Amino acid sequence: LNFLPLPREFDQNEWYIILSTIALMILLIKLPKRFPGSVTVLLIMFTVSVARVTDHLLAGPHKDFYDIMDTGKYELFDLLSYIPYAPFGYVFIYLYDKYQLKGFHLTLYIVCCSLGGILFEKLVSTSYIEFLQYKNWNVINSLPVYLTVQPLTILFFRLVKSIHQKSLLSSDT
Amino acid sequence: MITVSLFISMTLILIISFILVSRKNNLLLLIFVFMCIEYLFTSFISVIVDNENLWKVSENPGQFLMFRVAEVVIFPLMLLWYLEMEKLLKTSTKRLVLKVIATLILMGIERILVMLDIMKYSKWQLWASFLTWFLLLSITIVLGKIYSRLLQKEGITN
Repeated sequence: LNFLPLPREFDQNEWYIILSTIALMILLIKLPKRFPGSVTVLLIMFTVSVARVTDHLLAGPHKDFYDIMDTGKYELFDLLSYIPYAPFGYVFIYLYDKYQLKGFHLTLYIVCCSLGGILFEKLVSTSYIEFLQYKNWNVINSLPVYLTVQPLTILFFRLVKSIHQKSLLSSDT
Repeated sequence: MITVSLFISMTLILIISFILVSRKNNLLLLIFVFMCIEYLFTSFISVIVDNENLWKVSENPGQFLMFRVAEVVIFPLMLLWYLEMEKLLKTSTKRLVLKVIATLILMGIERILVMLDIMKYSKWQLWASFLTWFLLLSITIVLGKIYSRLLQKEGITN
């Protein structure tokens, strides 16, 4: 049994995951602390788990819209491939909270970030970096996914922040 | 189609009851554990179903949907129920008994999926199910403890 296959070749896909994880983790550490640790952990886990569940539902053999990494199998580096998503979600909320975006500015922010998301996706599905290999999928299909997930991330952040504040208040009394 | 409707209805009742019943753990902790379990359990299913074909999932759209619902909603929620129940118990013996009972219940749900032809076993043994659920229940507890310490550091004690 080979539960989590190793990459067929240790190529640009694996280097992409390793380097982007390192680069984005440095960014995460260097950014001034804005949220309590428990909220930061939840934001990271939300981004990672939403990406994982979405890919699991869309890229699994029965609904095989695309492959991640070298094969359709769930490889060791597939397991690690969700780590680079985490800082994206964190920075998205970080900027939203820092600039207190509302109304038209928030709409513009969500649209720009969604377009940024599909541009990034396009970049990692080229012949040079074959992190994503589309089968019955077009990159434009990802736009509604981003436009759904990003407002949900903001709602999740607001919910978590409010629960955290209430929990702190009830612990004080 | 009736089976699918009943299955989805039972799942919705499970979700509603989980939301409405008063919680013993902090909600942030439950959210954290739920998301970690989603990540771990979907990875486990990918390995078992897609990589090794130890479980074969039905290709019938209704049954496939039921499998996904069980995987993404029912099993993670059952693990959260266990976490809630565990908080009520004081002695390690009672906790061990609860863990064994919870393992058997989860194995029972897995067996129901087989009985409904949602999935089939292929070279999969009963002990593997027991070990899987026992391990996942243990991981649930560990995740809860790690996050609970983080909350305590921030001054959240309930």
